Amino acid sequence: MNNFDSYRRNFLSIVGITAGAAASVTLAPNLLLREAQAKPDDEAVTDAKRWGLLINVDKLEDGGDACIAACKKEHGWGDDPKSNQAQDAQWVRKVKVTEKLTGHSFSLPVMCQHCETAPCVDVCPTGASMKRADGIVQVNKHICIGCRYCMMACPYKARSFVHETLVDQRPNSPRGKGTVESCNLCVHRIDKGENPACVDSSPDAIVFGDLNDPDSTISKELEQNGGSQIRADLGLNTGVRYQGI
Amino acid sequence: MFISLLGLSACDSEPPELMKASNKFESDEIRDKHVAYMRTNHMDALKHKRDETMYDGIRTEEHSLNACINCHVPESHNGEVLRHTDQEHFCTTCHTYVAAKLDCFECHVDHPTKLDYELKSAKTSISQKKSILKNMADSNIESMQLKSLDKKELMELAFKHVNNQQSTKPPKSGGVSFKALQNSDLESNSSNKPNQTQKTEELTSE
Ligand code: HEC
Ligand code: HEC
Ligand code: HEC
Repeated sequence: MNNFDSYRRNFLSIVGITAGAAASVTLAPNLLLREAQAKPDDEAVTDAKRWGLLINVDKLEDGGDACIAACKKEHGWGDDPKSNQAQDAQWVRKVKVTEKLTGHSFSLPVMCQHCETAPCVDVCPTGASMKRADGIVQVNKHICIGCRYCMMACPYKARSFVHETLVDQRPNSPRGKGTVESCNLCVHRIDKGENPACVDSSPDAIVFGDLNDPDSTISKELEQNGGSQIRADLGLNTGVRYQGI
Repeated sequence: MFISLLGLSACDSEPPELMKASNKFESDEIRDKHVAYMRTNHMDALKHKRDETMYDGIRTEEHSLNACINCHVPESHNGEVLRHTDQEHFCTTCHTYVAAKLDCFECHVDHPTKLDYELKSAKTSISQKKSILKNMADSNIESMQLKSLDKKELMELAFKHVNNQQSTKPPKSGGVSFKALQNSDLESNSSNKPNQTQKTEELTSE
């Protein structure tokens, strides 16, 4: 961390010259519209972007099972050793809301909502629970001491704790005993210009993009049709928005 | 006297042989530079890189832990996966010798793994979707009493409900109680069931 600032300064001057390779909209073979342009690998993220998700619950026919499966596969959770059910990892979970009287119900996937003013970041005693410049809320597990304050603080119950020793983790998603984990918006994919795994699994129902860019698909869709936050009353300005709830 | 000399010579013993890297550098010159640099600096380089990646999203190969593993650990050794708990593992051989404990492999995978962005098998097929819907209909989840049918209101209430459960039921033994959630109308576990078949599929595809 010590050389960090000087590094950053050098780095910014380089970026100033080499920028320009950015904005391009690619059509993937499966006709997914991908707006997350690959930033150069050596370029630091900035607050020019704010990543967000827009989930249309009505278009998720399975209530989110496909995207949950994709998340499990990408990050390797869901099959971990545990001594009881309550220790299950939940990077994203399916929440079913039912009215008892009529039986009317619908389901939606709920994960880290990537709050602008994230309670988990406020309460973390070590700074491990962090928000990246581009709005991604994640755990820097290297300095996480496993106190789980963030789990208590999160109004969405988005965080889990790893209780047992793990082996054979995914190379791009290191996870280990004694630390807290949660959806990181597939930060390793975003940095490579790819969509989060859940988005690729349900391209019709979930839009990923830059909330700061008024011309992005997600911003336009939000402007036209709106999108609500869960527990908007908390004023957290979440990066994950829903339609049809 | 003779015995103590023997003891001394044991201390001077040669460092253990390290497993050869499975990938080569373009030239011997680059390799020699790498060896000289890494022998003294890999600990700092790795920790610097890890902060750059975490905070700034810098994803270059240089000093990436995954890159070290991909070069220095074979995909299989005597037909088996070589783990950091094995003495032959590149990092372990030396670290045992110098008695420096490494915790990196608590989280980071210690051998090369092929990355697979193929999410096709994770997508639900139509028949799976049908069985999911059937399971949803079958599952007998206790629901909470709500007056309004308005979806949005249901949502808000559901989350308030979770929060209330969180604050009224203090966790029993060190940690958030997920029980509160599982027993309530917010179904979280039964929804995992339909994926169980997928899970096995995923495992065999690895
Ligand atoms: C392109 C492949 C490659 C990558 C990537 C790589 N190495 Fe190496 N490394 C080598 C080769 C080749 C040698 C020379 C010794 C050999 O042939 O095994 C070597 C030697 C070393 C040595 C000296 C071993 C001795 O003989 O004392 C250390 C220490 C080392 N590497 C650490 C690392 C670390 C730490 C990383 C990740 C930051 C890393 N290497 C990444 C290929 C690589
Ligand atoms: C508690 C879990 C955990 C432990 C222990 C851990 N890491 Fe990490 N590490 C992570 C996570 C999570 C990331 C972020 C991965 C991402 O964003 O793609 C990461 C990323 C990294 C990266 C950047 C990605 C790469 O492969 O270059 C480096 C370098 C790194 N860690 C080095 C280390 C070293 C060295 C150690 C041991 C001293 C260590 N880590 C121990 C969880 C851990
Ligand atoms: C040639 C011997 C050698 C090899 C091979 C080696 N290391 Fe090291 N490593 C050391 C020594 C010596 C230290 C310094 C211990 C100290 O400073 O007390 C060290 C320290 C470290 C540290 C800092 C530990 C800490 O807790 O601060 C990390 C991280 C590390 N090594 C990672 C690796 C990884 C990953 C590999 C395999 C890719 C590896 N090392 C291979 C000799 C080696």
